[in-house]
Amino acid sequence: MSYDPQVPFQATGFALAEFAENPEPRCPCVLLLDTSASMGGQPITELNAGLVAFKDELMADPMAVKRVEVGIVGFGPVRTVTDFTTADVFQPPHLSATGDTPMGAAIERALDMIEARKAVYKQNGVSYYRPWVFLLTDGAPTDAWANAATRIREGEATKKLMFFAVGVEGANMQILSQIATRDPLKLKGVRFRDLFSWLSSSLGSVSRSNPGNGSDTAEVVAFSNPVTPNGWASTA
Amino acid sequence: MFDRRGQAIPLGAKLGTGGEGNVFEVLDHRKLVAKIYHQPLTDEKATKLAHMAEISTPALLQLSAWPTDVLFDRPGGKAVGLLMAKVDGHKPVHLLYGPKSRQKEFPDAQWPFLIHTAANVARAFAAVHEHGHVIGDVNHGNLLVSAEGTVKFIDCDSFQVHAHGRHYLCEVGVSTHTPPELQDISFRTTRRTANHDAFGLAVMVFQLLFMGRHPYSGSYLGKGEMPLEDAIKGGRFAYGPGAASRLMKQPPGTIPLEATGPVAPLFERAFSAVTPLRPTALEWRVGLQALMQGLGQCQANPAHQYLQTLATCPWCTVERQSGFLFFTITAAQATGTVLHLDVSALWQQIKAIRPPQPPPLAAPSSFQAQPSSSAGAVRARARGRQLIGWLVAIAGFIIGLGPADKHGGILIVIAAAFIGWKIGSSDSDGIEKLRAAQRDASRVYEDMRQRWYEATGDVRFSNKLRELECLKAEYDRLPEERRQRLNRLENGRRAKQLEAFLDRFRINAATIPGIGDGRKVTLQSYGIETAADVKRDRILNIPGFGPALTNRIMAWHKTVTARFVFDPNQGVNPAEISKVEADILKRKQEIEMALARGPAELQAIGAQSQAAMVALRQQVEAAARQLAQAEVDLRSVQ
Ligand SMILES: Nc1ncnc2c1ncn2[C@@H]1O[C@H](COP(=O)(O)OP(=O)(O)OP(=O)(O)O)[C@@H](O)[C@H]1O
Repeated sequence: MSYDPQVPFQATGFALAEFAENPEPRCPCVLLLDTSASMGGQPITELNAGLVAFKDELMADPMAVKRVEVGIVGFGPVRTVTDFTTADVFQPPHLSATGDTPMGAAIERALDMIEARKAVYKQNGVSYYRPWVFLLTDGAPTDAWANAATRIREGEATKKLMFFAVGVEGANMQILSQIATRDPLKLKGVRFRDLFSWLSSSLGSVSRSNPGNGSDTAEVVAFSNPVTPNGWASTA
Repeated sequence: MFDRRGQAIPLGAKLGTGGEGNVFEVLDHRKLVAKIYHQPLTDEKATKLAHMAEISTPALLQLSAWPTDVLFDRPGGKAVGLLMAKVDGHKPVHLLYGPKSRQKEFPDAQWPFLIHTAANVARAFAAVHEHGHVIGDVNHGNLLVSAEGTVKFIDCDSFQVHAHGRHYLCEVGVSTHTPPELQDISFRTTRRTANHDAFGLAVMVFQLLFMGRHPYSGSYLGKGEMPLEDAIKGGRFAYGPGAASRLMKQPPGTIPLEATGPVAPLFERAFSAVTPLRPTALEWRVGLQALMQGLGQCQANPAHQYLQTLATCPWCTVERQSGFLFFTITAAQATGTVLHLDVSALWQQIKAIRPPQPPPLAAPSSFQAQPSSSAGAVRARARGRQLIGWLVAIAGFIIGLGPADKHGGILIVIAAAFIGWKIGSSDSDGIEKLRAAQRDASRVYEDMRQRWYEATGDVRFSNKLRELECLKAEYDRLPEERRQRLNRLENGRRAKQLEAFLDRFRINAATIPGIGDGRKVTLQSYGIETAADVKRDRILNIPGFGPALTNRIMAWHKTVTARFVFDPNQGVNPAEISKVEADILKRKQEIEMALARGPAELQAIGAQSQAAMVALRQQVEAAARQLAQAEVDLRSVQ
């Protein structure tokens, strides 16, 4: 599908301070977080705690601090909670659980955000790694998601993005595996902290590998396997 | 752990973790550390480490954490690690070349320090190459820099080592520092050369000089994406006059390649697609030293150093473009020990200038005057009239007391006395002239006296001196003022963090009982969009928001505020510190300039009043003499 992302205005000849002060190649990662009503109670509390731990772990890695950019899209309803920021500036949000699960629209929002961000990188002459989209849900889409799935497949096929889906207790793993090309993982209990710890160290490894969104370096980087007896995930 | 001689090596705390292994302290050896690999070593690698330990030289030990021994899990057992010198007080080079991390980790480092460090990097490369070794895995993390700009390599076990006739390969590398000809080639089977290293060295020098930018990171003018690796392979150096022909444009907010003067041609050579020979470490050193010698300080900002052959300061330009201050004015620059003016010497000079000393004014009383001839004439005429007056009066008396009528006689006496007195005292003309002359002389004299005081500069001098004294007092208070302002910034941190925190809570995303979408829109139209905008007074002023609704919003505001956690590790925004430093420095320079002009100005005032004294003296004296004369004249006729 042809698709032209919007680009924020930047007067020619001017540079954005965030890239002047830190021109390191960027590794953008969108967290697509299900905040529908069913996440209420312990799951949303643990998710919020996990986000705080996520920031702390990224901060402990001096290269990840400079290179990993986090953006957050919440759904139920779809909204951009955090625009892309490097870990030092990232403020973990406090999410609350309301609404339904418009997963399709949320995914498309995430993909749009990435396209717009890449345009900003290009404008400022900054290289970038293959963007990550990390979906976390405890349900099934309540909207149309076919288009979102097509865009993900396209992005994966052209190595333009990496899409990971993680199901929390109650998630429809069947649909998740139709959306993602990689096998979706199932979170054990509410081990969000372990999940984010794994995510930050994986992003850290990526950010120490070779940039270049066209090559398959991101695939070559060895992540520790989360699907172990002690890991945070199991396969569906 | 045991070394090659079977001696036990007790390990202490873990110092660091890498992809290949962990690094530990060695107990009882503050200068040694041990690296223990995650995987046991192959025989090949164990031999490499043993050979490295054997061929170490003082030079290698000085510029790197060169392996000094191999470690085994038991005496004569499996090789599992190595011993090396501990590297203290050094930080990864990316913390220096990244502008944001530099502000924190190397706050005083300005461009000369970066150039100097780059030259030291070149020296370290040259030394490794002279030993016949190749660094191979040149990257942002395994070169460390000290506060003095000297550098050390760590992770040397990955070097390509030439020992005992063998070349032990370096099997790793990062693409950002890998030359075009090696981009798609396996490091496990490739023997690398100093010329390959020269590419990584050039990238690192570029990053140091160009504020952390990568030479091939720019805007691609062609269609589609241009990953960094492809740009390297295609020789698409994003800087310099030929960039457009390579379909590249350098990023906005970066200095032009010409700003590096004698180093620019080296970059052009290092980053072109095909290059038989890249600049050597020695060439870099020479070029960087030449660049350093051509630098001078910017007039507008002492933190800027640039090549004096350029028309304008490139740092001023890029800081205006990006709104980011790349260099911090150092405390030394701000407090002036480095600056050219010695204010205390200047002040001594000012105090030594003596105020002009006008000689005492000639007072009219100091002139001995004789009544003038005209005054004498007036007096003679007056005497004559007095005589006639007397005669008239006496005549009247005689007539009045004679044979005439008694009453009439008295009247005649009175009339004659009156007429006689009148005649005797009636030379009003002459005396009046003398009086007028005295008045004129007095006015002229007062006027001259006034002008004398003004022009001989007693007043001007002391006014100027008082002005300089005020400036000097302000100057002496500047360090304290600077301290107070920086303190205020520090204290404002909490408020700022809270504000930023509150600003993340949008009203329209919040659930506040009684505040539906309609009211949210109203709040927004009154500029209340996030928790940071919530102020009781502001809300009470909005039509339709009474105390009850306002309380609900305030309650929400309170719960949000309660969640705020102050992060003491989050420092003051360096840009604000720079602004304080820049303000103080600006004021300091203004005062210095005013004080520097002081002696000349005071001397000018002195010279001017000297001239005024010469010019006015005669006039003042003349006026005084005239007044004295007029007074004597007037007195002489009264
Ligand atoms: N000689 C030393 N003195 C002090 N600390 C050291 C020394 N060598 C290494 N370290 C610390 O240990 C960490 C890991 O070291 P090193 O980079 O050699 O490991 P590695 O496993 O080879 O890592 P890499 O992933 O870069 O290959 C370093 O980042 C540093 O903090």
